[in-house]
Amino acid sequence: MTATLAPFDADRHWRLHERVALRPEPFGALAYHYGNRRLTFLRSPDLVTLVELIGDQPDALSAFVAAGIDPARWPSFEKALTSLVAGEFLVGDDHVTEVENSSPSVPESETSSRP
Amino acid sequence: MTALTEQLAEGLNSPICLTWEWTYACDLQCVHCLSSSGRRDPDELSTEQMKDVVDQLAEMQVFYVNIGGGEPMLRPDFFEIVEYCVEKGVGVKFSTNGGRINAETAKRLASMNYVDIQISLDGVDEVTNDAVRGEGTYARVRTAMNHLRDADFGQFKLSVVMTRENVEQVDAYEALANEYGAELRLTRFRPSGRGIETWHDLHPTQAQQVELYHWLLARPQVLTGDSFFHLSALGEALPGLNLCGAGRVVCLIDPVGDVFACPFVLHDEFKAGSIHGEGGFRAVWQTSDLFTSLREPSNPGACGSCGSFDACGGGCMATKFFTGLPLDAPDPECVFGHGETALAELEANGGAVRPGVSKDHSKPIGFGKKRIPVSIL
Repeated sequence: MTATLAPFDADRHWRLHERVALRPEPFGALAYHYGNRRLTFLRSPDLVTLVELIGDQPDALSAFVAAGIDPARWPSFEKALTSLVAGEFLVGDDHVTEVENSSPSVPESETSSRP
Repeated sequence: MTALTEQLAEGLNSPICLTWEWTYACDLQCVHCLSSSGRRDPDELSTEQMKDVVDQLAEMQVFYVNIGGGEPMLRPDFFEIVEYCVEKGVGVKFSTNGGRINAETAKRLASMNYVDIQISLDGVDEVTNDAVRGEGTYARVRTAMNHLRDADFGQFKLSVVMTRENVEQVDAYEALANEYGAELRLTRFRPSGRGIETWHDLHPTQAQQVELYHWLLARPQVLTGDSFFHLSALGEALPGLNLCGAGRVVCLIDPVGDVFACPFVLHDEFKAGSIHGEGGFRAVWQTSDLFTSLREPSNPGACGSCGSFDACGGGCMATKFFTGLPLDAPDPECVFGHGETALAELEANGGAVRPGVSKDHSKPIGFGKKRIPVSIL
């Protein structure tokens, strides 16, 4: 019941991309990536908690524990994290931090969701 | 509806997609202009008032705004406010007719990392485009696109409103966008503003809509602003949320600070309040009577017995309203023809009573360049 399901590597350290902002909403949170302009929905409060603290934990498994998520639910959270990695909302330690040249902001490209 | 769209339909703390029109002034008189723009309104927000709105949006974590008008670049403080937005972390995507994009402004825009541009073109050749947007506008837009390319602006969006005359040119649009390394954005023609009158002759036919649906389905990379969700009743859903977002995930702030449910319903009936009221924009978004009622489950009305109601949700509120249909009627462009039937019934019963425009800023006919009559189409 660990990282066997997905290409997601739960044994390594992950963190939110430095240009991602979270906005609390009734269903969880909206995440917006000012770099690639993607918008995505974090569809449960537990996922929001997980994403908020994942950067402070040595690896994703520790973050699951720290967020108090029942191990039976880990696979579904790994799936959610996989798509966040695909959209570059979450990055690993090999990610090179972008040069801070201004406060972030750019419209979404209407790719991941188009209201 | 999915669980997510059900939750979205109940409303959010802040809009996902906020359109903010900066001026009613425009040097063009497009026959389909959704805001009946032309003349500046004397009560348009001052620079300080504009900045105050930006502060409110930043506080509400509105990630980006869609700037429109009128022609936003006609505001003398255009760059000042764009820069202020960027400074406050509110991304800017603005729509322009391209008239003010020259070598100098293109360079300035290219130097701003957090600004996106949508440039409007409504025909892939001069005859088709200029019939809608006015004489000389095709050449002008191509010049503006060249300036953006020469300034290394990067990827901009080429935005086209689909009409009966241009919908069959989609392949050529795609090629043109590719030539410039631009993204293509196709949107639905709604009968709003000056479009109330012209829509009936210019909106795509049923057969054209079916073609367009399959074309879009095969090209998920083409942007649509989720505007063709009524076509999802044909089967597989188009990419997007596929719901009417009015007052739920979308709204409009007009140039004088009035807040409407969506960019296509500039009418008193869909005015939720004003940014000048107590509590500002946040109070309007979170507590106005209109938005509260729009977040309640909608009555399927005449569509209740249709098996596709879950797919299209009955279609677009603005399109129904401005064609004279009740809001629980089928969309006038319902893919099964129920809307056409409903419109025909209205005609048979003495004619549709179409609402007018609450704020018409059109220039008088004959002012400046003549508006091209639709009849020549």
